[in-house]
Amino acid sequence: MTLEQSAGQADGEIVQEQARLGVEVAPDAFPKELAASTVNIPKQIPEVSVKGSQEGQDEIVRDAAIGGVSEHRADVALRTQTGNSERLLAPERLTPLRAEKEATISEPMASEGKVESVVPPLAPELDEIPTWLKELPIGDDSVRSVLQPGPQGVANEINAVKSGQIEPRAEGVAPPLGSDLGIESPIALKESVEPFLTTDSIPLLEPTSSPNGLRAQESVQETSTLGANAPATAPSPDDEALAADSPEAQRTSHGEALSSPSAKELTASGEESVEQAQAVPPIATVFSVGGETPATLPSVEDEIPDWLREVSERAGLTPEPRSPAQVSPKDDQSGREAPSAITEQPLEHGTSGAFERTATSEAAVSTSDLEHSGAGATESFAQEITSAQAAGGEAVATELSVIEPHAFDSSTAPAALAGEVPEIAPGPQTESLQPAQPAVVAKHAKVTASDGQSREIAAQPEPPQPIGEQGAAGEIPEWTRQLTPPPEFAPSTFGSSLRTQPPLLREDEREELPDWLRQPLENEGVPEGIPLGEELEARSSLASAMPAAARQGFKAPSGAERFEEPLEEATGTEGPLGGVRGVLPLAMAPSEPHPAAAPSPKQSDGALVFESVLSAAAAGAAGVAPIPARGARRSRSNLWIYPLILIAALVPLFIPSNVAGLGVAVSNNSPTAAFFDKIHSLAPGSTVLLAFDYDTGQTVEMNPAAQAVVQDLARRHVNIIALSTLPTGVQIAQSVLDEVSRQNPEWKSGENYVNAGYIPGGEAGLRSLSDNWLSEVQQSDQATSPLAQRVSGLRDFSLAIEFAGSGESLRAWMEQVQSRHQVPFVAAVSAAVESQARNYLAANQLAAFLRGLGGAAEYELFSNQAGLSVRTLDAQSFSHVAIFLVIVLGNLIFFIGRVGKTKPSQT
Amino acid sequence: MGTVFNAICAQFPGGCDNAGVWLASVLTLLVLSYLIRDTFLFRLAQSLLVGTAIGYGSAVVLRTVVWDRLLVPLLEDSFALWRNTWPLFIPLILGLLLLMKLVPNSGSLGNVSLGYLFGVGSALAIGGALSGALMPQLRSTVMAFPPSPGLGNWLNGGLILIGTLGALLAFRFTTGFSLAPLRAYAVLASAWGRVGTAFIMVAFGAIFANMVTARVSSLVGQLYFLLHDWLQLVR
Repeated sequence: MTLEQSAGQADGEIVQEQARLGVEVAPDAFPKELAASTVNIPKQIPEVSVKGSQEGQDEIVRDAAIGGVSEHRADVALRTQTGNSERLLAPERLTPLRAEKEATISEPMASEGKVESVVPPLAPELDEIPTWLKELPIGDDSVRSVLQPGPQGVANEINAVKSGQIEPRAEGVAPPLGSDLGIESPIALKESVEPFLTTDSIPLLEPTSSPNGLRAQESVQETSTLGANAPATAPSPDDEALAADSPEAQRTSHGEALSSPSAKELTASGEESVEQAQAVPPIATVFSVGGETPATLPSVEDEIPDWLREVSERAGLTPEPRSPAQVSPKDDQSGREAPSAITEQPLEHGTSGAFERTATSEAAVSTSDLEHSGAGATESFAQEITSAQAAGGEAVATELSVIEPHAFDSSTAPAALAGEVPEIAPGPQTESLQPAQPAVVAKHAKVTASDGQSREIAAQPEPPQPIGEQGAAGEIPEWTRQLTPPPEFAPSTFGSSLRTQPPLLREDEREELPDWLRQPLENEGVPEGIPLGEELEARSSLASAMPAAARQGFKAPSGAERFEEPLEEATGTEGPLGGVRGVLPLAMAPSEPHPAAAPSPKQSDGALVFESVLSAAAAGAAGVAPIPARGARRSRSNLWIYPLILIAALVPLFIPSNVAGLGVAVSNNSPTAAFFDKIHSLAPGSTVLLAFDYDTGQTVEMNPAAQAVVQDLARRHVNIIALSTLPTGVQIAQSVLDEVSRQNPEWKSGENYVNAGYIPGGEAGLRSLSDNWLSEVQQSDQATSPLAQRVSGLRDFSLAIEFAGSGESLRAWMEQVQSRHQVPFVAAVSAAVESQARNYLAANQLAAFLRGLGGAAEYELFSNQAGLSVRTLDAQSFSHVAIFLVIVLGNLIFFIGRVGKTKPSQT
Repeated sequence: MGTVFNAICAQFPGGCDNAGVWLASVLTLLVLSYLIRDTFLFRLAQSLLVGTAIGYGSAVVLRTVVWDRLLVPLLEDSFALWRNTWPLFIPLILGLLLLMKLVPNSGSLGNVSLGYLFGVGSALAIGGALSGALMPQLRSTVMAFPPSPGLGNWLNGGLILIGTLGALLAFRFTTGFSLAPLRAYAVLASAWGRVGTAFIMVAFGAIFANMVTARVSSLVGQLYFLLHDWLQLVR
């Protein structure tokens, strides 16, 4: 079990205990040592009273120290208070006492896994020794030393008994107890009851193989019951008895019903006791010690003192005899298979009279302490007595008063924890509470002889056994590994305990911890009102899975407010918090109408605009004609733009041919001149590749250039192999070739020109053409022509001419063919592709190019074959002028109208 | 088919050539009717143009590709059990799978063919762009400096340098530099990018002007056809 689990379990048990007792405890109200938090003790236990004066508080401290109670327990006792919340002792008041203890005691005393110092015997406190103790016969120094208050005196007594200097304390030494029950001293009562309690529980115990188990049998056979803080691994009988301090061996001697929901009944208590115990909410797992009754133990009936019988009869709690079925099969065995074993047997709800041990270690004891403070403490103890009577035999009751020092406020401990026996108001109930003061008598190792004599011995100081150390591999008993956190584990207490408590580790172990674990988080570091979900998010993945809304709902109260709220009331039903108790319900915020905020000026303007648009649309719906649908007449501007351009294009066409081309400026530095030079550099009889990559829609622009180039090539007896990457380009190429062939009869198909047809596949086809010419061309109809047979690849062409109507076709040729072969390329492109062709020209990928109709006209003029291009070029020039005028006039009208609109608005 | 068409054309005055001129002239007028409004005649001419182009293209593809390059070789080699033409089954199967796009609930079978087409096309485009466009253009731009002697060459080289780098910086979208040198670079790049944006706008304007020129050329050529070939008003 990890440290967090232990801490969480402790917190959970505290919450559970407080739920049972009706107290409200703030989980984080216990800071590092002595935080000033409060616990409300319900007023229904007025019989528990502790004086609130300063002297009384000091006495509480001293008694706690005398009893070997840890410092924390002393703190708990100090803060015990009846009534409502009240701080009884400030931390600074305990500082001198603590320092004094640390100065005098060399060896620390183990308590709840933390090194504690024992308060040395103080001279002034000798006056506080109860009267009955003072009246004990003191024979010699050894006996006197035994009477020395505090654990030292108990240790002296043990040593004295061992050495034979003194006799074990006789049973009759115990002073009379309360008036009703006949018990005058809580210790005496406890010592008297313990044998019977143990006897009752022993037969129900199952031996386990826990190495650190309680050597209960040895303790019993030795007729000594050790209370607390005994080293678990000590081999000596005393040490074995002291092993009860091990976490897995912690038990409570009061035996009241600290039950868990899954607990089962262990004892043979009567129906009445069971019913009384059922009133107690479940909390802890119950363990019984040992296996069965030792053979050396006397019979039960013989061991019950008469005065105890009388007490039981007065209380009317005489239990029924145990049925054979309730007795463990090993009850009859004389020996034990595993004497030192401890068996964890869950105690059912309502079980009484059983030895109990917390599942983990610490908080359960504190919860038992809390239970004593409840109203049913008296009844529980009475049940314990009756159970012991029913079981009979000498019992061993070890009480481990390990208390969670930080998990709950000290005031949760009732007045009975204070151990201020002389100050407790006399009364039956109060006296009955006296034996159940684990906080006070916890460190009193009670040695109960077989003859009924009992005495207190000081528990051997033991190095602390912190929880974190217990979690080390190999030291954790199997039963501890199987333990699971109780369902009552509350995330709120879990987080707060992690934040407030220091890690229970030794210094060397603490050094191994990360920085964030070495010291507890300061409360100051957590702002008040921080959502608990966020707090847990850094520590638990469960919290990270919380929805944001749930985290918002977890507003962790600050300080003591946390414990003042009943955490167990709400239980998560769904989501990651399903089944988790203590979940704060989400606040139900009633929806309230929000007051309408005054709109900003911007919003107001927008609203006005929107309103005006709506009103304008509504107003114009009747008078304004709808937008003309398809087929409607165009705007009036088109009525004069289209005729203007049409006239500008038609009039030049009526210009005589000898005058046409007035606007053509032929330059020897133009791309057309380079194109012409490249064509005229071809030798007669050479072969040229022509690609007709334009469709029928571009024939008007592209055909003049194509016809002029093919005509010039035919005149120069240059062979042509034409192809196209467009399906329609094949027919265009054929029409151009046929027209040139008609004009040049000597230029014949198959011999001087070949239409290789369509090259499918786009870029892939061009790539295949560049790599494997024959496979592409020889599948055409004219593949068997003499010209086609002479060409085996692109290297056989003197020039490649691309008639590109689009940029895509030109790019495909440049990327897939030109870059892979060193064939000179020229292009006759549409005017729309001119910018792209110029880039290839600048990169020397194109040797020259013709630009649309203007380039064709230039070529015609260069080749002295003025034709269609020259005749239509004037019309194109006039059209351009008309379009230019339209653009200028349109912009002038626009800006004039804009200026006219802005001036009235400015005025 | 050709015989039937020639028989019909023979009935027209002037033969098939004259019939074609009349048909083309009528379709041209139908298209120009769009200047008045979007009429049924324009849509008729538009549909005829699109349908004819697609039909002609499909016929060419079926004739020259599917029949001449695929089916005929397979049929001719069938007696030899396609010993030499078995690779042609690959495009045949891919083509049939692509036709499955037309069959309901079987369209996914055509994805294989589409994947092949897109994959091959992408590979060719990327490789071709690197070797046929990007590298040659980069080399051309870099080789513009130092320009040849002459003011014009230097001016041209300067414009190429400023315009090219400015066009690249126009697409710079990083900002928020904290160091002073980087801020200075950001300011310079932003200003230069604006100059590049101006170059880009000029280029777009040039492209648009070329497009207008191309379309005006088509208009003038078609008007010349009407006046010269159909109406014979001009020579």
